[in-house]
Amino acid sequence: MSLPALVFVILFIYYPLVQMFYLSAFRWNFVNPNMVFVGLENFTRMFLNDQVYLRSLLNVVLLAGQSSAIQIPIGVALATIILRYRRIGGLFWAIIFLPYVISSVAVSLIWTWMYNPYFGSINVFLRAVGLGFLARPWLGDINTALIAIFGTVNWIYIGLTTTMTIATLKSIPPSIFESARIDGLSGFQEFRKITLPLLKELIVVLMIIDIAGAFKFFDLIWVMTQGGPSDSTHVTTTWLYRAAFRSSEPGYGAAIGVTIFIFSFVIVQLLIKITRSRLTR
Amino acid sequence: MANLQNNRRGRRKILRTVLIYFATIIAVIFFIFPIYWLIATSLKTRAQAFSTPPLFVWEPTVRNFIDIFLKRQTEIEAITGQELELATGAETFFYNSFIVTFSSIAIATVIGVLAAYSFSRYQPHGTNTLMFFILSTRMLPAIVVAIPIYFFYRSLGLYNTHIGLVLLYTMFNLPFAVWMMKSFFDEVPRDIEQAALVDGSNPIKVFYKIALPQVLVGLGATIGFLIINVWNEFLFALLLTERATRTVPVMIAGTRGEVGINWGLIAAIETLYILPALVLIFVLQRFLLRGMTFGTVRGAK
Amino acid sequence: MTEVRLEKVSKYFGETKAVDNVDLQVNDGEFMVLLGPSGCGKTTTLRLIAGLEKPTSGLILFNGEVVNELEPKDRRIAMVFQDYALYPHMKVFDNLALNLQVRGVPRDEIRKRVSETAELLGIKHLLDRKPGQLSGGEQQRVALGRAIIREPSVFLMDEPLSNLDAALRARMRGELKKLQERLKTTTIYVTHDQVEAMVMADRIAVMRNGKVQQIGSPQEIYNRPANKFVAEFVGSPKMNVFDATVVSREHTKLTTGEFDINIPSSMAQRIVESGSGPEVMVGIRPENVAVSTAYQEGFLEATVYLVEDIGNLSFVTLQVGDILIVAQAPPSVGLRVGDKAYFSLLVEKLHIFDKKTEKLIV
Repeated sequence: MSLPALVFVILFIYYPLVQMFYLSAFRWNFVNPNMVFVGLENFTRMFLNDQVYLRSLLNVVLLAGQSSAIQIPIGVALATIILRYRRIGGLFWAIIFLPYVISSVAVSLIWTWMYNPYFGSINVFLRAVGLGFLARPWLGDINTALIAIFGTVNWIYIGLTTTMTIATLKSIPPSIFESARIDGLSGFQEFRKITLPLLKELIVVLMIIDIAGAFKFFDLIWVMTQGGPSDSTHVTTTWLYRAAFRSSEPGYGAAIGVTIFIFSFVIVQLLIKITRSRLTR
Repeated sequence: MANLQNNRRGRRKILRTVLIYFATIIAVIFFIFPIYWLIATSLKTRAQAFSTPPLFVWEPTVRNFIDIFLKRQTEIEAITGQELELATGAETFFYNSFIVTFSSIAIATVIGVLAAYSFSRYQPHGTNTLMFFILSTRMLPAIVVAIPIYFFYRSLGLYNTHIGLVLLYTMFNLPFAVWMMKSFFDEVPRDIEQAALVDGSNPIKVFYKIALPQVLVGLGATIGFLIINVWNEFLFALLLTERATRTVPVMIAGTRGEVGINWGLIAAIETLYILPALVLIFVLQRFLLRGMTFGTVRGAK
Repeated sequence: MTEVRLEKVSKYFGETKAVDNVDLQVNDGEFMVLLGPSGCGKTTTLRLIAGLEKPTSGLILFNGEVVNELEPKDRRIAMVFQDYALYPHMKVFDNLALNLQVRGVPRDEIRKRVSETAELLGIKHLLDRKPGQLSGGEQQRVALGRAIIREPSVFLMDEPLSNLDAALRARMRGELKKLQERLKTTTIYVTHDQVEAMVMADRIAVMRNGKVQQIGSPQEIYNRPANKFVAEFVGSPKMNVFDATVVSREHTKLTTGEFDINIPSSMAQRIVESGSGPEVMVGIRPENVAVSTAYQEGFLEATVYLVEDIGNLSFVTLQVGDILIVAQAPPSVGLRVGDKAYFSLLVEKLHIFDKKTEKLIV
C-alpha cells in the first residue's frame, strides 16, 4: 500500500535532485538552450567571485543566529507565562500563533505596508509619539532592510517556538515543579535549576530548526525586497531564484542549489540524530 | 504585624498581576495589530486607505469585497495594469487556488492514509528508516529541486497547468500526511482489528470498516493542516504558473511595489485569502502541537 | 512535634466538590492513612495539607496555627509523590541535596546528611547516577531520601508504593513503617490499597466522594465499620452484604427471603432503638461464615457456586436462591462447584446496617 507514496517520492524528489547535480556542471540560458559543460566553474565563481552569494550566505547565518537569539528566549518566556496563567493563556497562545499559519505572502505584504515610508503604520506611529527622526523607508534603506525583515520573521516564528516549548513543558510531570515548590525554590531558582535544564534538548532542536529554516527561507524576502536594496537582503534561496529565472543562468542556479542541499542535508542529519535519540530513549 | 505583611504581599501581588497584564496587552497588540490593520484596510475606500494620518474611525464599507467578484466599478477606476488584472481576474485566481488545493489534498490524503496504515500496522521491513527518510525530505528546502522540476515540467507540458501543480503539491504534502496519519493510527489499539482478522474479515474491509472510523478526527486534523500548507504555497506557484493558472499568493505578491494601487481592494482579497487558515487554526487548536512540530516534540497531547 | 488539624475544609474545582467539609485530626508522631477509591478526594486532601492547593473554605492548622496562607516550603513538610518526581537532570546526590542547598546549609553539613540518609536507605552506591538509570525501587528510595533528609515535621506520601511490583511493595511497606516508627515523624499517607492501610496505619481515615466516612484504628475500621461502604471497602474478599427483613415482633428473627437468621436480643434491642427496619442490610465477613460438607446442627443448605483456592486458604462462594455468600474455609474442605454444602453465620459477628442510610446499627 505504501508503493504509490514511494513512486511519488522518487519521481518528485530524488530524480530532480540527481538532475540538479548534473545541471550544476553546465552553462546555458533560456534564449540559447545550448548546454556547455563547464565542470566546477559555477562553484568556483560562486565562492570566489560572487559577492552577492557570499553576502546571502552571511545573511542566512545572521537570520539563523538572530532567530535563535531572539525567538528562543522570548518563546520560552511566553510559554512559561502561558502555562502559569492558563485562564488568559489559551487565547494568548492562539493569537501569537496566528502569524505562523497565515500565508507568508500575505504576511509579507502586510508588513511591507507597515514599513511603507509614507503611509506605513510604523513611521506614522513614530511621528505621532515624537520620534519622527527615526522614521525611514525601512525596507528601502540598506541599513535597516535586513533588520526590518528580521522583525517580521520574529513576528511569524515566535508563536512556533512558544508552541514547541509549551509542548515540552507539558510533557514534564507537574509533580516535578510541585516538588520544587516544596523544596523551597523561588520562581527564578525553579526556572534556572529545573525548567531550563529540562529544556536544554529542545533548545538545541530549535536552534537546528532555525538554521535549517534559514536555508529554506524564500517567500518573505522575495515579496518584501526581492533581495534589495542593492542585493543586501538576499538569502541563498532568493539568489538562486534570481540567478536561475531572472538572470537566465539555470546552471549557476543549480550550483547554488547544490550548495544549499549540502548545507541543509548536514543540518537535517544532525537534527534527525538528536530527535531519534530522544525518540528511542 | 501579620496584617501589615499580608497587605504588603497583597500589594506586590497586585502590582505583579498588573505588570503581567500590561505586558500581555502589549504583546497582543504587537501580534494582532498587523492582522487588524489588514482587515481594517479592507473595509476602507481607496481614499480612506491612503489618508495620512491613518484613519482609526471611519465608516466601514464592504464595497471592496463586492468588487472582488462583481467589479464593474473597479474596472473603470483601474489605474495600473496590475489593477486591471485584478479587476478582471480575481475570481480566476481564487478558483485556481481552490482547485489545486482540493485536488492535491484529495490525492495526498488517499495515498497518505493507505501508506500510514500499512506503516503503522504491517510495519514492513525498514519502516523506521523509511519514516525518517520521509521526514528528512520534508525538512530539505524545496527550492533545491526547483530548477530540474521547471525543465521537467516544461518538457512534459506540465508547466502552467493545474495538473502540474496538483502533482507537485501532492508530493510535497505526502510526507506530512503519512507522518501525521501514522501517529494517529499508532494511537488506536490494534486489538479490534486483530479480532476481526482472526474472525476472517478481509484486511481491506477491516481497514475501512474498523481502523478508518477510529481515526476520523485525526484525518480531519491532517486534512486541515494540508489545506493550510497547500493554500499558502508560493514558490512553485510563482515558478510554474502563468496568467491562466496563477494562484492567489502569486497575484498578491505581484501587487507589491505598485504605486497608487487600491490598497482597500488588495486588503480585501488578502483578507479572504487568509480567512480559511484563520478559521482552520481555531478549529484545529487541539492538534496544533502535533501538526506544527511534526513529531519533533514528544508528549504533545 | 507536629499535629495537623483540618477544620471543615472544603475544596471545589468548579462545581465538583473534591473535598467536602472534612474534619481531621492527626496527632503528633501518628501514622495516618487516608484510604479510599480513586476520586474520593484523598489526594486533594493531602495536597491541601501540603499547600499545593488552597482550600475553598475551612482551616488547616499545624500545631494549632493556621497555615492556609503559608507556601509549601514554609510548612516544614516533605512530600513523596506517586511518580516520585525526581529531578531527571540531576544526580541522586543533588536530588537529595537541593532543599538543603536552597536553605543555605553549609556544604560539609549537606555532604554529611546526604551520606547519612543514603546509608539509612541503602542507596549510597547510587549517588552519582541520574534517576533515569535507576530501577523503580531505587527511585522510590531516593524519593523517600529526599523527604527524610530535610527532617520535616510532617511526611506527606501520595501512594508512594503503587508503582512498584507486588513483592517489592510488600517489602517496602514494612520498611517504611519501621522507618516512620524510628523517626517518629507525623505521617499522612494516601492509598487506595486497604492492605497497605491496615498494615501501616496507626489510624485510618476512609474517604468517599470528598467526605470522611470513618476515622479509627485499623481494628476499629475492620470490626466496626461505620457504614456499608467502609465495610465493603476494607477486607478482602469483601464483606458479604445482603438485604433482610425483620419479621418477629421481638426483632430477633430476620429473613432474607431464602433463609432466616436468629439474632440475640441485645442486637434486636439496638435495631428497635435505632428506629430503622423492618428493612435492613446484613453484613458478615467470609471468615465468620462456617462451611461444611456434611449437615450440622443449625446449618443451612446451599450449592457451591465457585471455589477459589489460594493455597493456605480457600474461599467458597455459596449460592442460596438469589443470594451469594463467600465463606472462608481450609483448603482441605474438599468442595467442588455444584456440590451441596452447609453453612452457618457466626451471629455475634453480624453487622446490621440501616437500609436507607447504610449506616451501621449494630
